[in-house]
Amino acid sequence: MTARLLLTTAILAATTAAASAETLRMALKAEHPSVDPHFSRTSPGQNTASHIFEGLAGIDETLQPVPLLAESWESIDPTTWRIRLRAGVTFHDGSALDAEDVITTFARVPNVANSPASFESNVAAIAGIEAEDDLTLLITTHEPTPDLIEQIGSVYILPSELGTEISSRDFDAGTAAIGTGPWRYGGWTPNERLTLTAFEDYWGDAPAFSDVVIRYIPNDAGRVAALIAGDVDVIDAVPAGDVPAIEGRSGAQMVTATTGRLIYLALDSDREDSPFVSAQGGGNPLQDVRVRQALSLMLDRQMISDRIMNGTATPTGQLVPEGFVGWTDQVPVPQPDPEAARALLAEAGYPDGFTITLHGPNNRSQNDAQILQAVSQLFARAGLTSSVEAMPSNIFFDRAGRQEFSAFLGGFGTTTGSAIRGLQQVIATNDPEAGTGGFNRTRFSDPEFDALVARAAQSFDEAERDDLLTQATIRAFTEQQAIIPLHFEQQIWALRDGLTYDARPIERTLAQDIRPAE
Amino acid sequence: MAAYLVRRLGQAVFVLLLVSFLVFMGVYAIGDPVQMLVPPDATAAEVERARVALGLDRPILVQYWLYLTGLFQGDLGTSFVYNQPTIDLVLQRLPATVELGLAAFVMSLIIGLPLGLVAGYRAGSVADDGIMNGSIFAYSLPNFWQGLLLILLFAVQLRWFPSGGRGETGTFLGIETSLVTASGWSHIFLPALNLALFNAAMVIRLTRAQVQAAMNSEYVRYARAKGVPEGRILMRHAFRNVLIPLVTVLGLELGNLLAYGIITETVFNWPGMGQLLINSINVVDRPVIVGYLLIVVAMFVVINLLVDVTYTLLDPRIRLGGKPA
Repeated sequence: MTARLLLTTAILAATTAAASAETLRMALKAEHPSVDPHFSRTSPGQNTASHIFEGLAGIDETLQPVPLLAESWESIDPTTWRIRLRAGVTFHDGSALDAEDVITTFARVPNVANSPASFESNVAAIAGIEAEDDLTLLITTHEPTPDLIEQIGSVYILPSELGTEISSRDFDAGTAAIGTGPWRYGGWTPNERLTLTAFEDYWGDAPAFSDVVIRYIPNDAGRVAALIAGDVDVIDAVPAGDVPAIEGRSGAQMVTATTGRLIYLALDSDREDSPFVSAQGGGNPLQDVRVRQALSLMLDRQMISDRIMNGTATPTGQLVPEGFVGWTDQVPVPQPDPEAARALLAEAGYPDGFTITLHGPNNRSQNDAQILQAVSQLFARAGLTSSVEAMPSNIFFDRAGRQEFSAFLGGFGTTTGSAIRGLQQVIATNDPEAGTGGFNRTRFSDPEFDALVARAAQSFDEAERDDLLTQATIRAFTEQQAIIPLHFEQQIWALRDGLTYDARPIERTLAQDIRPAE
Repeated sequence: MAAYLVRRLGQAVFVLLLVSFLVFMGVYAIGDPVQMLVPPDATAAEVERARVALGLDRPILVQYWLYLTGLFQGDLGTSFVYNQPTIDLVLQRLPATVELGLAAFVMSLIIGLPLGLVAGYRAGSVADDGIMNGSIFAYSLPNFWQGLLLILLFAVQLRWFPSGGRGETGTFLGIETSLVTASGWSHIFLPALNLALFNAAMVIRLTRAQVQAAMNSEYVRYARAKGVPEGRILMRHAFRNVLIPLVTVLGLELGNLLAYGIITETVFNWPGMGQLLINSINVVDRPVIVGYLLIVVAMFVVINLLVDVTYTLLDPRIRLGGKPA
């Protein structure tokens, strides 16, 4: 009797173990707004899309484009490209990938209704597209576009049978959720869970699990509790403060990757009068480049990373992390030097410092309010009168956009593996006509820098482009101190023991990159 | 009765209009939803396009007027984030919230009524002291903290229950609910207990006070003199009179459980309406915030009406509207 009971228990235990190895359970912080892969370019939207759908190009460890559905691409002349598609790729409905699918997809992108973050700009460069044969495309662009592959490569390809008018609702319901990716759509309960099943005819490496259940738990403590309680196998966006607690437990491990998300201090350097800075004799000290350089020298970036971020931040003095296009070893991580800072302040005419209030969100970036406090204390130690005002991000962004601050904590995520877009949007002159400076909320403006970046964006020659970006980076961060970079955030995942995750420096948690440890 | 109902309905419409105006203006004064929706690397032109697509480029009174005209056609607006009608989003979550609220409600009665009866009947005894002191804990510990402790103890340490989320759903009488599956029950137990504790404490205190008052009343003394057994006096005579004030409070509390399980839903990641509200506030999904609050107000109006009607059933002496019904 006892023996039989034991046996039954053993069998039961064995089958449960096997079943849980088959199904991967993940809990993520943010949910996609729609399963439609063209509805939103934001990270949560693309995270879901990247399971079910694929684009022409993927990304490698430094976010550089690598062949995915496109096998190769070549620029024939500055405005013409030839793209060869991979042979033998099938969609979830069994149809084979061909040039017509790509053409229809690109035509559908601008038709997505009510999309707040459309992929339209990704295909805007295309002037004409035609199929040379079933697997070859000829694309002409309006003007020379050296980064065409970066732009169109991330657009998720749909089968041409869906047409150009299919609505987002059809994707949410699953009827149109047909891609070439490693996972098929299994069902979506909004704000609760998404289920996926492995696609048996996937052209690439077969995923390690037969099913995936993704739960959405926005509450940080809830997500961590779900992992520790064994309800899920993987969680993303682990709060830096919980890292020691999770590491202290057996059965869980951490995986980290430096992301391209830069946390920086923006300075209102373009106005005579700035609302939250005041100095003896009036004026806006932040207009003086020596003051901006002095502020940067007051900061101990390594200490902020160690103490505030539990070591989960990568200090920096420039826009993108090492390995990305545009990173240069000629702009090292600035070391704290209060003496030099004082000297620069005195030289600029502020030997007794000045008064400044720092603003920032308190729920957008990891530990943002604490970072602000630390920066403020470091400023105070160097002789400024500094205070902090943190607020919820939905209010913060509104006010920052209306230029109501003098200095604020900003964040910019580079998702393309190149510094160009960030340099154009965060530091280049605010010019809606030219489409630059969209996030330049302080209206910093330097014609020399603008010219360097504009030339880099037009360059087809990699060496020339890298050289121009290096010059632009030195101009912006060493010579002008347009903004004060602090660090890159690290993305932190926690996995149960026995799993490995091949993480990329981007906000994605992909089930196909999670495998049982050898 | 009919005239009374019509009058109450008129009041309800007025309240809803007032609330829609106040909430609309309040919610539209804070934050910028566009900044939360566009990707972090969007250009100024893309931001502007999103603003126009959401109708945010128009003056606020025009936006309110458009919203109001939609409202009269039964349209609560379209979510900025999900691009789905607000009413769909809220209704999708309604079953989860209702089942959690009802489970908590029943649980608070199961815990509260017997303990309250005992405490009231044996006032001053050790049992009474224990129950009253226990209820102070349930009363005064913050809801979210109780929730976290429950998770820590029962989910993380003992692993008896899952740490959050809703279990599998089954269909019962055409309604999809998780109360008909085993996984559903194991998921709902902790959040329902968390939500029930405060109410249970209130039920205990209310029942105790009422029972004490009733046991000292004339009719109880008379029943005792007549030789009616104690059990019958308590359950048949005293308890019925205890119920009247209890129903008033419980009616409102049921409304609270349904509308404001927000904290419990957030802590336990329960996919109900409260969690929807919190998520929507975080991303400034204005139509959902306004729509949710309107639905909640409507719900309170209905519950209040039902409470008033229930009085007349419990005690025929009470008449609606001050006139004979």
